[in-house]
Order: sequence, then C-alpha cells, then structure tokens
Amino acid sequence: MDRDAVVIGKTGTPFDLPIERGKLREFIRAVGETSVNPDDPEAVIPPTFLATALWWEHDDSNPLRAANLDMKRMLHVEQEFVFHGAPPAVGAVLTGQSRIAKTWEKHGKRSGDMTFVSVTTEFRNEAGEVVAEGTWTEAHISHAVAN
Amino acid sequence: MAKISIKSVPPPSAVGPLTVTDFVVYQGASGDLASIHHDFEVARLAGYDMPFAPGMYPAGILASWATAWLGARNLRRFKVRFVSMVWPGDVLTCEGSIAFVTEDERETTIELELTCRSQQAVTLLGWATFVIPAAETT
Repeated sequence: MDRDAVVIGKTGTPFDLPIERGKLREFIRAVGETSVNPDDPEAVIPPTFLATALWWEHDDSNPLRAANLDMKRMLHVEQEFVFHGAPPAVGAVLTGQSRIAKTWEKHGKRSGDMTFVSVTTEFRNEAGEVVAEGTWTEAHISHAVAN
Repeated sequence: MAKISIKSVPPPSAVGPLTVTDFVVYQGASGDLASIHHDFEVARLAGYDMPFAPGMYPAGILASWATAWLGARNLRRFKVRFVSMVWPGDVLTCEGSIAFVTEDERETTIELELTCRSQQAVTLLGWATFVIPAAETT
C-alpha cells in the first residue's frame, strides 16, 4: 500500500445508485431477507443493500484506488450502515460519494504492524439530503493474509 | 401491517449448509466478483483449501435475522465486525439480544447485539438500531 496516497478527506468521483426492483429482488433472495416484499411499491432496501454500490462506482469513485492496495494484505474488518430515517425505497436514485474518513496504526502480536483505513460513502437523495452513510474499514497487515 | 412484539426476542435461526453456489448468488447480487470466493484454483494459489464467503454475505444473513423480527423499514443503523471466515459447508446460526430500549409516546428505539456462529467459531459480531413507531408495537 502506498501510504502517502491515504489522505484523510480525499474524495472519489460521485456515482448514481438507482434502487432498482430487480436488483432488490436478487439481493433479498441472496441474503434471505423476509421483511421486504420486492413487489411492494414502497419496498425499502435491506440493511446491507448499499454494498451493491460496487456495481455502480466508477474506476475513480474509491478514494483508496491511488493507494495501490494489495488485496492479499487487506482484511475487511468492519462495515457499518447508518440511515437517517427509513431506508431508501425502490425507485429512489441515490448519489454516492466516498471519502477517506480515518486512518490509524496498531501493532498486533501475531499480525505485526497494521494500518487501518475507513472509507465513508455518503448517499444523497434527489433533493440532495444525506439519507444514508456506509463506512467500510479495512486493515492492511504487514504480511500476506494467505500465509 | 402485523404488529411487532418488541419484548419477545425470536429464537436463533440456522442458515445452511452454505455452498459455493450461495456465495456466487450473493456475489452477483452485490457486485463483489472477486474470484477467491468461488474459484478453487485461485483460492488454493492464495493458500486456502477452498473458496471462502465474501464477508458481506454472512453480514446480510445476520441482518436478515434482525429485520425478520423488527422490519427493514425500521432499521437505522447496522454494524458488523468480521471475526472469522465462512466456508462451504458452514451452517450459520444467527441470534441477538436487546442491549438497550428507550420509549416515548411516538416510538421505541431498540439497540440489539447480534452474533453469527458457524459450527467452528464466531464468524461475526453485529449491532443494530431500530426505531419502531408506537402504532406498530405491542
């Protein structure tokens, strides 16, 4: 990882995330969500649905891209989603933008030096209001995960 | 709309045994297409015996245990910590308990502590906050 590229506050390019009924149906089936009926005209997204941003992000939407992450040394350690009011419903078109929120170091006995990085994605509705945030926390460890 | 009983915590639920096909279905749904989660050769070259689940897949299963009870529309926060990997053949048992409740005339706020275990180990810890309108609770 190029640590000089991990600059707090650095943002990626915004991307659209339309809440599509077909994608909602597919996701609900994949995770076994039972409280949402995708045929309901007001169906909301399940708690982790914003992970589907992966389908919509542009190459430069992830502000960590310039850090040349070696995925063999990266561990996804935490994930959080916060909703300001009811989660978005089918038909909404959200705009997401990610920023490097936090980075910190830790020394582990078994894993050696670790660098943690949190990237927070803000999701806004058509009116420009922040309706949700997703925070993705990765640990970069000094030896490869596979060892 | 069925009323929600906030006092009766549902029993643990079991999902699985999970298959690589389940991982692929989640990967297609989520857009995490990393081959280490379905290609045995890629997994072996990386030092694993077989593919392992993308962490967000069991995270989604754990979230579903909580929303089956309190409703996805009422969710306000969901957080998971990834503790150990999930493998083909794992049966995941999800459960939760109430950590904190506040109530006023309009709504009830419930904070849950969640756990997802395989046969071998704790795989995930989770935390969720739900806000439920008074009219929907019993």
